[in-house]
Amino acid sequence: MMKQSKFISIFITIFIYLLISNLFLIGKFNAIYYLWINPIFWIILFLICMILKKGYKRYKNKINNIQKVIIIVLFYIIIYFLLGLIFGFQYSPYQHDILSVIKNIWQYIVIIIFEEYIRNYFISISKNKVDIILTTILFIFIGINFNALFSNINNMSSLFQYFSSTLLPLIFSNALCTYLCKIGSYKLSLFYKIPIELIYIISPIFPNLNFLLNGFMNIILTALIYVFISYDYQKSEQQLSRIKKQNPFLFVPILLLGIILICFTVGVFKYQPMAILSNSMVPTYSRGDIVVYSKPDTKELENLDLYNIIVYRLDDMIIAHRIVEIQEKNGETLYITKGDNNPTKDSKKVKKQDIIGIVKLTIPFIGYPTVWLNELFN
Amino acid sequence: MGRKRDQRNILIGVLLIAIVVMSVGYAAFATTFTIGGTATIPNSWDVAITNISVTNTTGNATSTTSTYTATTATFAANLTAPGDSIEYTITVANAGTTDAKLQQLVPVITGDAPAINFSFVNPPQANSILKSGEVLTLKVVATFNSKFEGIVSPDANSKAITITLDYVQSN
Repeated sequence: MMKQSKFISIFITIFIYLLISNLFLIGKFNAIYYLWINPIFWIILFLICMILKKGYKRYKNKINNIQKVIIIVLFYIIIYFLLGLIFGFQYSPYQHDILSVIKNIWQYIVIIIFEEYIRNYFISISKNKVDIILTTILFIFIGINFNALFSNINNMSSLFQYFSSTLLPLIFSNALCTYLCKIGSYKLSLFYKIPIELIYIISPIFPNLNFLLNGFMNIILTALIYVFISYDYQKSEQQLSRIKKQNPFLFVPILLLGIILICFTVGVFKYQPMAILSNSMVPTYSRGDIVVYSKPDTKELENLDLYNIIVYRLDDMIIAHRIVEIQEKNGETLYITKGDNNPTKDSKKVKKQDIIGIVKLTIPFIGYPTVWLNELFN
Repeated sequence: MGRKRDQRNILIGVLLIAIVVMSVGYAAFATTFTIGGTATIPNSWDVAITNISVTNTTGNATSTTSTYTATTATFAANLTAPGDSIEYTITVANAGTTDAKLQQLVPVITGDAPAINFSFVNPPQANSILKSGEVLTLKVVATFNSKFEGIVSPDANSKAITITLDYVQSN
C-alpha cells in the first residue's frame, strides 16, 4: 500500500468516526461512548497502524529531549500550583477512590497514548507539509469537545472565553505534538501530555486561575517546550551553522513579561488597568484611553475626597467618574458622581461597597483594541 | 554529552522531590488552607453555569446585576412594593465527558432590604446527577414580602444573592 493511500485511508476513517461520533454517538450513548466506544476505536486504529508501520526515522538526541520535556513540564506543574498561593485553591471535581482514578486514566490517558502513536504514524507517512498541517488540523478537531462548544457558547463573550481558554491552547498543543512527533517520536509528546493530564486526575486541589491565565499558562508551556527542543534539534541538524544561534533562555524574560502583563490585566496586583469606552470624562481622559486604578483598602476608602475619580460597579457596568458630592445618610456615606463631560450628575448614588478603585494614571489611546473588541462583542 | 544528561537527571530528581514536598505539605496543612468551590478542569471536566436570565417580572421589579462564573451565579433584585417579583433562570450544562453529581447548592444573600425574599422553584437535591450532555435549569424567584409593614427606603430596596453550585464527578 502506498504511503499516500495509507494516509488518506486513515485520515478519512478518523474523519468519518468524528462525524458519526458528534452527530449521533455522543448524543445517544454519551456515557458508553466515552467509557468504551471511543477508547476501543483508538485501540483498533492503533493496532492497524502498528501492522502498517514501517521503520521510523531515528533521532539521535531523543533521550536528551525527553529529559528536557520532563524538566519543563515539572517546572510548569510547580509554578502552576504555586500560583494557587496568589489566586487561592479550588477542589478537584474528580473522585479519588481507586476505581474512579482507574476509570479516569482509562478514559483520558490511555487514549492519549494511542492518539499520539497514530499521530506519529501519520507524520511518518506524510509526504509534504500539507499532510503535516492536515494531520495537525485533524487532531485539533479530535480535541474539540463539540458538545461543550454548542452548549456553552451562547454569546460573543463566552465565545472569546472558549477561544482563549480552550481552543487557542488546543491549537498550540497540537502543533507542538505534531512537531515533537516529526523531530523525535510520539514518546516526546507523551512525556509532554501525560504528566499534565495525570495531575488533573490525581490532584485533590487546583489553583483558582482566571480563564485567561489558564489559557496563557498552557500556551507558555507549549512555547517553552518548542523553543528548547527546536534549538537542540536545529543544532543537531547543523542548520545553525549559517544562522545566528539564539539562546533559548533569551525567551524566558519575554515569557516572564507576558505572565506579569496578564497578571496585571486580570487584577492580581494592587493596580489594574481599565479601557475607557465613552467620552463622558473628556478632557481628563477619553474613549480608547486606559486608566490605571488602585484597589483601595479601608483607610483609602475612608479618605476619599471630593474630585477624586473613582471606579465603581453600577448594575453590570464598571464606571470611572469623578466624585462631586458626598452625603451622609443613616450613618452611611454616599458618593454622587459625574462625568466631566456630562451636563448632569449621575442618577445613582455610589455606596462604599460598590467602589473598586481610585484612578491613579491615564495612558492615552492604547485601550482602543479593547474598545473595538467590546463593540464587536456587544 | 553524558555529563549533561546526568545533570538533567539530577534536575528531574530535584523537581520531582519539590513536587513530593509540595504534596506532603498539602497533606499536612490541608485543614489550615482556605479552599473554596470546585475547579473547572480543561478539556474533560466541563460542568458550568452557561447563562442567567430574567424570565418573568411582575409590578415594578427590576434586576440590577446578573453575572455568573462557572460555578456561581449572582444577581440583585430591586423591588419596591408588595406584588413585585422577579424570576431568574440559571442554566447549568454538563458539556464534559463524565456524569456530575451535585455536592452542594449554597445561596448567600447580601443587602439590607428586609422585605425581599428569595425562593427556589424545584431546586436540585444534593447528590442529584447531571448526566454528561445534559442541561439543568434552576429557577430563583425574588418576591416582595406582602406582610412586610416597615418603610422601604429608596436606598435599601435591593437585595443580592450568590448561588454556588458545586458539582463533582459521579461514580
